[in-house]
Amino acid sequence: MNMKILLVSNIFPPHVRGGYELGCLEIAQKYSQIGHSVIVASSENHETFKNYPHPEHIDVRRIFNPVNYYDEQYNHHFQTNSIYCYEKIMAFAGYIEPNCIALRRLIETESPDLVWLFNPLGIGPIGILDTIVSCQTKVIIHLMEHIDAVIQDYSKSVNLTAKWKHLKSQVTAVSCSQKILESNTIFGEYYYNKVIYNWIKLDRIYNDQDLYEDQILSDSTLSSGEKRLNYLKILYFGQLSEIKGVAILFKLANLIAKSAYKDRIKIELYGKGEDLFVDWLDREIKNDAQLAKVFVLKGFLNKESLQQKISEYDIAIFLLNDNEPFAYAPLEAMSKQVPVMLTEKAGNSEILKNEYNAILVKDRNDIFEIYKKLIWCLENPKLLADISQNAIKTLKQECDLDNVTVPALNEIIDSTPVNKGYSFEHVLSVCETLKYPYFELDINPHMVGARYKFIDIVVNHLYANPLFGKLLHKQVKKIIHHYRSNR
Amino acid sequence: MTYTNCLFDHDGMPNKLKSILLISLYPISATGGGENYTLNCAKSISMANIGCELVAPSDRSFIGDSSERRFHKWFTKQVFNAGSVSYTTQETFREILESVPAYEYLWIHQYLATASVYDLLLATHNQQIIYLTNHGFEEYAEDFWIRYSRLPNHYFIEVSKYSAKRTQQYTKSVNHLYAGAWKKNLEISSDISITDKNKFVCVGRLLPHKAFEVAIDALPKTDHLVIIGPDSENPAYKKFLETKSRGKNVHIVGEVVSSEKDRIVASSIALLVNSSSVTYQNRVFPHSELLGLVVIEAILNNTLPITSSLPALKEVMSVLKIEHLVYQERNPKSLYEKMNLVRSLSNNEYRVLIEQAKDIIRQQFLWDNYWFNLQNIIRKS
Repeated sequence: MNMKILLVSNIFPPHVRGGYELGCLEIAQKYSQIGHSVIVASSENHETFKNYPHPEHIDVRRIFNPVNYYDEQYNHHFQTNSIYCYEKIMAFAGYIEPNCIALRRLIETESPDLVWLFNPLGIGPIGILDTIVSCQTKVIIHLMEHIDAVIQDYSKSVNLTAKWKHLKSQVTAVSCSQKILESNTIFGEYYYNKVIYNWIKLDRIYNDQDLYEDQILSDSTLSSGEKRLNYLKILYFGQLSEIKGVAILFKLANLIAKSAYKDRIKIELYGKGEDLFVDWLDREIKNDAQLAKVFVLKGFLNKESLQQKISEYDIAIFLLNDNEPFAYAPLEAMSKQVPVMLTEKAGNSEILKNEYNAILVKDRNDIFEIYKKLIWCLENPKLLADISQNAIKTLKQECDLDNVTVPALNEIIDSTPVNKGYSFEHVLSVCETLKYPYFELDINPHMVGARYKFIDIVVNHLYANPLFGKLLHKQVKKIIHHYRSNR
Repeated sequence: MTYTNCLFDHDGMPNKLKSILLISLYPISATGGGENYTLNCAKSISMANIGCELVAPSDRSFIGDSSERRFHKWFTKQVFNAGSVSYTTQETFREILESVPAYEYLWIHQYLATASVYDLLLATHNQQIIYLTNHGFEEYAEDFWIRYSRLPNHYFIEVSKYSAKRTQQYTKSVNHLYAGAWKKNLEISSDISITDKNKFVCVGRLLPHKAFEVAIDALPKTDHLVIIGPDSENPAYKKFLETKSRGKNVHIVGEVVSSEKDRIVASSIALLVNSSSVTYQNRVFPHSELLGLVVIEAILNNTLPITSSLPALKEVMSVLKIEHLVYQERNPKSLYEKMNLVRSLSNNEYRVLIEQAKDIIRQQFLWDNYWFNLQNIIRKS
């Protein structure tokens, strides 16, 4: 039976921050393609995030307030502004009245059979869920983020977590990994919660089953003849940021550049990231000729061009944060038969087994362990080929959008009960209460007091000294980088 | 709207709701009418076979704290079972808030005391029934009424018609329900005749809006007046009363145990309730009494009350059919006349008035069937 589905996402292509929005887009496209009527409710956003083609054939309604809080400059500029601080608390752990009203109106006019909530952060997650639950419709929340943890972080001055917990108990959830399922139990559990791993469109790559099997076979035969690789081309693609492990890759490259393997291993990175960080990487590479041979920033490529490039590499490396829910990039690499190396605590590792369908690293900060694994790759090309074949099998079993994901999602949709709903005045009443703060925001913009002022003067004086200032600045930067890459 | 229908989950199984959470936003360790009312209310609910948990801030610093520290403030939780406290625990405000959605009913006493009333209201949901009762601590009143928007599951249950009228200025769904006595306490009859009663008595905390100075002014030099109640909250006022009392037989005895207080009240000619809307320093207290439980206390001890003409006191006196014992607020001469009027009553006349008042209390002020009466009122509204 064809349904009317309303997808809700904080931001939506062409604005993209990460996999969450792309996941929402792919679901919208897929369900539209299989005959359902799909509408997406999202926000209009800043140009900074406009880095994806405009989605075609999808009815997108930009009904929410812009989500500015992912813009570093915006955050920096207003960090001591009380209105900004209050709005940010509401955006990440509260209610935003215009968003609630706009969503309610949309649901009333469109009467969807199912409201499918993706990332609610930044648009007032509790208000959004309250609004949806207040309607007589099926509700599913698709979890690809540590939403409870974010709500907890923003619940210091005002605490709506009891409400969040209550709303969750009435909603069916789909978690992109067991890690995400567990991390979203800080404030109670969802009515029903099932893990469905993030997906990949295998049909796009292997339309013909036989061709796919043949390709694996032929690749395997080719690899088996070689005893060791002469050269290892390593690929990273995605956000160029410390949180994604790029700073550790940089350290690793430094180690390789000083090792006997400096002419046999090369790491190439595609993507864009935080300006300051990328500029720093750029400077460091330019200052070291040996490093420049090992570690190359290739810039940003659109998805199609990148897809073509992936298979040119021997291995893809993703030193993901332990909290990573379930990254899409490793799936893309696996689907191109490129073996992936990633951290064993990231969500993706739930479907991976070391040296069977991936190479898993225990601690991403242990660059010696990663280095040893790379040498192992150089010496075991046959095993690498096996890994890439097994990875394809795993993708087919766990992440195939058409044959695994959609049927599993449909099963959940069918079994999700229609909410009884309640009067919207309950939502509006909360919005009214929260229109302006009834509590202290505890903003401490500047260090106050004579002692701190004195320290300020001393530090400023030291910084002003040309020689000592430069040294101090370098040390402070080192400390910051060390802290960031180890967090 | 039937809320009980919403108490089931998607499979039609009953949700695990834990009866009633009665929360006072003012500490109930303090002795006062409001605090007594809250304690008796919890006792009464639990006697109606409803699980009742009474929580209140452990100290007064909670009031007025709107920083994030308020979530870490301690609350005392008393779990009532069949009319008595089963056990007592300490929980932080954050823990209390997290447990709020699990109750079927939430009853907030002293809802105008602090901004944290909104922490509580924000934690509730449409399947719960919310009762709100004011006992007169109204530091947050102005902001509360600006921010408040009424919901169909909210009911204001005020302690008197006067208090309900005040609340009706701001919202709907306002009811009042009298309470103040347990049936067993009405059975106590007195063997002290009016001729054996030898003094007047005042009961209450030594605070300016209680206007004890009016009783002192009205007291003839030959009579005795005993003032009972905690006397440490306002030393300046205590000193003022002591100065006023020079040359008269006034005994400020402080806080005494309940049995001793009852003995003193029972042996008094009349209990004087002098609360005033204007203090001796001309500070205005428009709501210094919302019920006047002390009036009921006097009748239970077989002593007639004489009260000032504050609206709430006048209302109770009128309901108890002793409105002729109401004197003009802050008027010692008027009080003196009422004192003489009581003294002039024969033993029989005195007893008739007491018995008549007791009958009315039995009909309208009992804690024993308070929850049942409340449900009736809600059903009708």
